Amino acid sequence: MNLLNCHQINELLSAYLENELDPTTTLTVANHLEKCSLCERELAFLTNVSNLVRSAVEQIDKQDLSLISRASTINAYVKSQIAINPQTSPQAQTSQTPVNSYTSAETASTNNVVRLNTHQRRLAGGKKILLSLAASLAIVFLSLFAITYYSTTTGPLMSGVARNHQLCNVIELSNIGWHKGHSTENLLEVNNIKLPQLNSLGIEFYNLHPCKVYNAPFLHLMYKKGNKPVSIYYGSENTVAKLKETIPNIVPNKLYLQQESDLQIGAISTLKNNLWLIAGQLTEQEINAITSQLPMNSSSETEQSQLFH
Amino acid sequence: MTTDYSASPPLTEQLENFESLALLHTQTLLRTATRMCGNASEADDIVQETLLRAWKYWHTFELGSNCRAWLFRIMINLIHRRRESLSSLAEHVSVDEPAMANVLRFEPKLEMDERGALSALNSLPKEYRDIIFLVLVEEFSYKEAAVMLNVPMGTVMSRLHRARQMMKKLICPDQKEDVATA
Repeated sequence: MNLLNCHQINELLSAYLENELDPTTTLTVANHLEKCSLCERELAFLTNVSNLVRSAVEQIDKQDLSLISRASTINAYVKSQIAINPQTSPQAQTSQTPVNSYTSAETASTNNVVRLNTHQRRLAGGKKILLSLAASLAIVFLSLFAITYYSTTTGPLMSGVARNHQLCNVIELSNIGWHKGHSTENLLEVNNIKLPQLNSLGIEFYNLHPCKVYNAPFLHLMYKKGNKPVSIYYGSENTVAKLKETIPNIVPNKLYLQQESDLQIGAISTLKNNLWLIAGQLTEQEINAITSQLPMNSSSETEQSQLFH
Repeated sequence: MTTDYSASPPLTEQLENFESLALLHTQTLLRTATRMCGNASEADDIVQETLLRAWKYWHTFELGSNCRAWLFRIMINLIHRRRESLSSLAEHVSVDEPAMANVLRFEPKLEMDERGALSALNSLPKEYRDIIFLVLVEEFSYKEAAVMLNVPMGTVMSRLHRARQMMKKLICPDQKEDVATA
């Protein structure tokens, strides 16, 4: 490529930053930058602007916890629609002319797309659509009922869930699982925590998933001691605030203990104001021993955990 | 492209694939839709429709190709259609109200410089803001962004360049344009 002037180089700087130039042009720009302080300064400025935008957006994403619940709701709804409405399934498309993926997406008909929220109001009548809607609402209400039932009939805390893991296992098996698509490692990674190893206490880990208690998000780590379930919940700052309504005296690094019939519950918040909650048919000593194995003030712990990421 | 439907995987397998490949991106789609629509409720609707449409045409998705880019393509197409149908209202909203302020339900804790960059970004025309979200934030290549926006790659390149220049003027209005005049 011929030598370019500053104005021409300036127009290539964006693409240079994103490595979108061909090798020859990249070299031309790099050579120019070595000699031209003005263009070098311009590049530094553009880099800085890009970094600031990324950083601002990243901060907002970290702080906007509503994204997590909105995404969960949408996924649950889409799954329920897929389960209810087999017409949208790939097998029902076999009579259609095969088309390129992008083209098909562009030309997709909206005839059998059912939407909630503002779109509900715009939906024309139709038995099929109403039935689909009724069925998905029924799923939502049944789930809410189940959660309410377990949290109110077996004690003020999440003892119903902790005592037998029954509700969580139902969620695991149902099509409205909140964690589908996430591996165990992924969920731990996005929440910046390491799996507490409790084998030395005879407590073995077997599963984990995002769980909601008191409408606050927890990461539910499911363990077993023999045949008895042991639950360890990891909660965000948001969760702590919610739980403080029930247990006002949760203080950082101090274990709170509560006995509910055969269930021993321990709650402890970290200096970063995240929360660990332990529940199971355990003794106080066992709760203490488990607590000592939990990462309390890890430097990797973020200010805001990203449950349900 | 032709597809041998007789060899299509069974429905359960396709469901599993859809859940593990497509629904994994819901949060990312939602994040971008919220920024591009400037309205959280509208973004929810768009993402919901994107995923339902993606499922409907899941049999045309080639396993191993970029699912995130495929979903974004569907979503941006839907956003553009909606913008077209609400063009006058959308223009009004984007000019008078910063998009991010319109959708955030909390006051984000940001550094001064970050806040300035965000404010500058919000005041850009939509087509420039979109390209910044796709290339700078979501890190799609120029080629992927061009397919999504249905524009030539050269347009992506020039829009991004102009978007950065506009942001530069907004962030440092007094800075002398040394390079342009050199």
